[in-house]
Amino acid sequence: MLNAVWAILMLTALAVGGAHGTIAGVGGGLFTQAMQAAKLAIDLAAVMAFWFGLSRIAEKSGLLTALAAPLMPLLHFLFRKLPKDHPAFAPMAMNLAANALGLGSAATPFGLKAMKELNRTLRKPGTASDEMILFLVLNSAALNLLPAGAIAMRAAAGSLDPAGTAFASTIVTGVAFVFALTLHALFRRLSRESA
Amino acid sequence: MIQAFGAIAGWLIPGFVAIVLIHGLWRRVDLIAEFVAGAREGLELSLSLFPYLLAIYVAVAAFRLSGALELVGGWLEPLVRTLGVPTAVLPLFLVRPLSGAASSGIVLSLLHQHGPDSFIGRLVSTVQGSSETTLYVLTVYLGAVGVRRSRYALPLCLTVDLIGYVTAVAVAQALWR
Repeated sequence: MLNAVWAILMLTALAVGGAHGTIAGVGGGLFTQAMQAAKLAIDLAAVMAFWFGLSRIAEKSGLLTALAAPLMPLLHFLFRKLPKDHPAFAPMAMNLAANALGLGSAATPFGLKAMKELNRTLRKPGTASDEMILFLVLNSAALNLLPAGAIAMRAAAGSLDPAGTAFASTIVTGVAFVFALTLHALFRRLSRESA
Repeated sequence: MIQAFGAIAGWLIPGFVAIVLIHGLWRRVDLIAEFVAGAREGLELSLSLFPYLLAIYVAVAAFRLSGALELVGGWLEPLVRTLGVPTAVLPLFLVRPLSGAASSGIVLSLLHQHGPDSFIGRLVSTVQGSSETTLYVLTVYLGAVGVRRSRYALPLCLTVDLIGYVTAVAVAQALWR
């Protein structure tokens, strides 16, 4: 599926570029953006290394489990098929909590850690499990209590009420969260091939 | 209000770091050894996800630079207009699942053009604050652990995104129009 999306994006871009005479820009853009991706990757690697280091301390000291505890009943209920002591639970909880507080840079490392743990117990290697997809769709719904990025942008643009849309965002992500759970149950049933 | 938010947000990360270190000391964890081991793990993971990051970045940029994005936007415009959504917002809906940097750019320019406290300004802020760069998350999260077959992940996540946008428009219209 992602394979098809990638091919469609690339080929459409090249075709439209050819037809509209923007192909030179596309050609140049490929390499500029590749360099851009490398810069981003270095930044990301630094942040990831830092958070992974910190979270490993928190893991060893037992703090991660303690912090994740309030979210555990919800996660145990959502991920019923996983054993309750599955190592993916703590990073999943931290990922959702960091996202909810608008800490995107802290959320990604925990999310990747959770994926790594989920991957370890995959029954069919290379194929996403229902649990993985549920975790991804919860991320996509982006349950958010403090949209820090949006608030910062509004403040920068000179808003008189920078936090004025935070409440609306929370409602929207709440609705999306409920739909994410419902639709996941539906899609899971429709896709016979249970991993 | 904003000062309170700013103060909370500013203290979250430093506070968390302090708590982790103090708790680690108290529990007699070998702080530096564990930090380094964890950091190495993070570095290895980010190395393995770079090719996916590269693929998605280049494809999205090519799609934008070629004018293909505008073309798709042109097709969708009549539909969006009949739904009572300002067409200025359309590019944001198209780009949001693909690229965080590009969608932030669109939001910033719309905030400046229309004013952050206008209807459009509030709508795009709501969307920005309630959505995620879905394609990026899927590619990177699945790619980093070597999952090739994503099954129903993409249609499901994009459907949830669409529901989010529709809800954002409905909430914005109810609150600010």
